[in-house]
Parts: sequence; structure tokens; C-alpha cells
Amino acid sequence: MTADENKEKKKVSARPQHFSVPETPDGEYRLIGTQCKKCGDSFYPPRVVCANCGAMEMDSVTLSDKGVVYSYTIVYNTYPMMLLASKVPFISAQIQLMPEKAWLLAWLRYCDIDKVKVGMEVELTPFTFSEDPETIQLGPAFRPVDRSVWTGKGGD
Amino acid sequence: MAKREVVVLGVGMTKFQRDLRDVVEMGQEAGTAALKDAGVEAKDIQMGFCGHVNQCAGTGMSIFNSLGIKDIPVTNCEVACASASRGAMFAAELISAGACDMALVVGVERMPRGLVPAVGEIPDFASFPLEMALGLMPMPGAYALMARRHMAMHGTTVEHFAKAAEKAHRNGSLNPNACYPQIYTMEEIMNSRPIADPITMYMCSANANGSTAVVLCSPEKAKQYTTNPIFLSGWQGSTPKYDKEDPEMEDCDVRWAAEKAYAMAGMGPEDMKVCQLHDAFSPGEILIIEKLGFCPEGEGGPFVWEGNTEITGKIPVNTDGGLVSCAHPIGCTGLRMVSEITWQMRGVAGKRQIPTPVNAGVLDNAGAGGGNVMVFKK
Repeated sequence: MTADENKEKKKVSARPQHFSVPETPDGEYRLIGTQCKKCGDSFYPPRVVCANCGAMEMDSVTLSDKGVVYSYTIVYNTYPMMLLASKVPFISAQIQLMPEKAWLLAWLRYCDIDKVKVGMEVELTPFTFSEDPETIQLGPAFRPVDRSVWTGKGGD
Repeated sequence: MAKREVVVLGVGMTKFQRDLRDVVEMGQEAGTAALKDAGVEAKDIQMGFCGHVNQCAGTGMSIFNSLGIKDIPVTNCEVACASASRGAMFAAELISAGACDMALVVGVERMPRGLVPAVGEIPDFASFPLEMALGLMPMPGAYALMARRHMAMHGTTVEHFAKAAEKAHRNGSLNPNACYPQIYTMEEIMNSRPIADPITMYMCSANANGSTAVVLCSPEKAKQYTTNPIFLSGWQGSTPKYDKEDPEMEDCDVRWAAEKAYAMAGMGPEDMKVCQLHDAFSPGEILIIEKLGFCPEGEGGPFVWEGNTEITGKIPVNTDGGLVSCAHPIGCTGLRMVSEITWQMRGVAGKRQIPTPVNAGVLDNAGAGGGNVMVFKK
């Protein structure tokens, strides 16, 4: 390994407007969404108009890094140009963040495909969106809270 | 503003198949068939709409030109897989409002192989929403998420979905226009290649080329041509609902749209004798029959399993084989549904004809992020 390859790459967010990457090793990854000032519903990624009441006054908020699987599918076939095309079968999950109930579609990593369940508790974890010699761009994914359903060592 | 019913005066379609026909050839064939079926000529058409999704700009205008229809406004209409029915809806609203007496609507699509592209070309991959860049949501994925949720909440099984697919293929085997008329057993369907669990390959609509056309006119105008009109009596377009507690990945709010469309027609689900619905993937049949009011929420699986949606069942669903057997030229599918309901109501559906009188029917045509429900009666 050359000195160059050994160098710690800078970790940055692939979507800084709604996913924050910690600047220190002990920091935490965060999802940033919006919350309606009128009805209180929260959204990820951020919305400027509330999907519930139509209000246009929204606060930027840090959302929970935990949620539950509302539903899931095991994808065996996706568009060949997409990032996960080489990783089939993988789990695509519709996740409700708790307690806000904002929902998003995310890659459920590390989970045994035979053990995924509706209602399963999950937590935020990063994935590598892209990489160059200087930086690693990270995006938000999820993994089961219960490590007994992880595959292998919890790696890719 | 009150909407008035319109008449479905004529329908026509091409065979759905994988072939080299271009969109104008297909549109011309379906359009000519619809004009002849209606007993009208090019000069009688006052407005035109063309449903298509991924064809050239100007596709509709080229087709109407090929049909010899001149000097009228022709508009292309795109609502993903619900494009063609939305074209018919626009025509119905304009006729209903008195803007014209008669319109021709054509739906057409040439399809590539493989997964229907959600994003077309990729100009700037890095700027994509992440779920798209990852490939988390191929089209079967949305139905798979709804299916898995239904299984967890209501005890629906993969066998229920496979039963809907088995019936669709069996109905399609009776339809000369279906692209894939092969019959498959439950085992063959469940053991076919997994696509997006619980959906397997034979639960998926295939890609093929095709065109369908429909002539719509006012009830007054129809009197010149028929004494036995079929009416489009209720319709409603919709986008998805928002429900924080239950964020189902439905393309449109079918339950709400159906209530509106039934109310406009002065009918209810209990009056329907035929149903064409959007089984882009077989779980669609089970999910949508509940929302159209044919069985209580959560009971769609057993309802299909017990044979209620067979041609001889309580509410025959996708009598022509649906998207799963006919295949799915996306900009055309909605008018294929209109044609099948029309043929069933006329009693001319051949080997797949419903054996009891068909005096009312409903369709649900869903596209990514929007859809339409339409109610017909005699």
C-alpha cells in the first residue's frame, strides 16, 4: 500500500442538504428534514410545503436516527446503471422514523434477507455513494438494531 | 361544475406484440378500427388526444395526420402508465362541457425490453434522489412494498398473488390480442425467477408494443349512430393520498377516486359487472379490488383465491388477461381497458365473454404518481 492509499480520506455527505456527516470520529450521522410549523408533521427529505396541511412555513429539524420497517422488498433485478445493481439481492425498505413518522425509502444493509420483517427496528448507518482519491461521499442507509439478524460480520 | 356522461361510440386496437411496427403504423391501425367501429369518418372528429410516454415529440399529431384528420387540435397526454385513460378523461370533460361533440383518443407505445425506465437517460447521476441513484425502486418494487405490507397486516399469501397471475394468464389465453397467451400453473408462477420479493417473473406485466383508440361523443350526437349506446358515466383522476400512519406507496388514491367516479355515475361497486384494473404486477389485483369496493379491506387475497374475480365469478376482473397477459404498452393500456369493457358490455368478447348480462363496468388505470377510475354503463 502506498502512502497515498494509506491516507485517511475526507468523509463528506453526498447530500449535505439533508444528511450530515460528522467531522470527528465520535460524532453522529444525522438526517435533516423539515417540520410543519402549523400541524407538526415531519418530512424527509425536506419539503417546503407540508404534505398534510399545505402550510408553507417549515422548520429545519434533525430527525430521529431510528425507525421501523413499514414494508420491504428483496430486489433481485434493478436498473443496471444504478449503484446497487451489482449487489442484488438487496433489501429495499420503506422506513418510518420514530417517533416523527416521517418516512423514506432506504437500503436496509447487513440484514439477512430471510430475517427481514415488517415492524423490525432499524437504525441509521452510512453507505459509500462515491469515492475519489481525496474524499468519500456518504449517503444514508439503515441496518437492523438487532444484530442477531445481521449477515456475516455486518459488512457488505 | 357538474360533469355529464359521454358515449363510447367506437373502439379499436392492434394486437399487442413484440415487433417492428412503428408508432404511427400502430396508431393508424387502431385509430382506423375505432373510426370504423363508431361508423364515423375523419371529418367528424373535432378534437384529438394521444396517450404516450416515451415516444417522439409530436407522436399524436403524426398519428392523426396519418388518419387524415385535419384542422383540429391534437394534444399529447402523459400520466405515465395512466396516459391513455387520462386522454379519454380530457376528451370526456371537453365533450361534457360542450367544447366539442366528438373526439378521438389514441394510446400508443413501443416498449424497450427489461425494466421500464423510471428515469430515462441519465444526464447527471450525482444529482439524482438517492433512492433512485441506488436503484432501490424498480417498478416492481413499489408493488412489492405494498404486497409485503398487505401480507404482514392481513395474512395475504404469495399463493393469493400467484392465483391472480394464474387467472390473468388463463383469461389472456382466450384473447387473440394478448401478447403472452400462455397458461402457467401456480407452481410455474411461484417458481419463476424472483424479481422483487414476493413478485416473480410471471406476476409481472411484460413489455410489448401496441395501440388502442376510442371515439367518444356527446349523448345527443350518438343518436345519429346508435340506439344502444355505452356511456362513460363517471370518472375521476387522482394523485397519491398522504397518510402519515399508513404511507402506502399507491400511485393514486384509488379509494377516493372510485367513490367520486361511482357517485358521478349514480352507481356503486355492487352494480358493477366487469372490472379492468392495473395489474402491472399481480398483487395489484388484490390491492385494487379492495379499494374499488368489491371486498372489505384486507380480504382481497381470499376473495381472489375463492374465484370471485374469474370470468364466471361475482365480479370478473381483467377478463382479457390484464396487463400480465396482454402485456403493457404503457401509453396505451388505459384504452385497452376501455375497449375490453366496451366489448364485454356489447357481448362480443368471444371465448372470454362474461356469461351473464354486462350493463356496467369500472376501470382503474394507475401510472407512477397518478391514476384514473372510470365507470361505464349501458
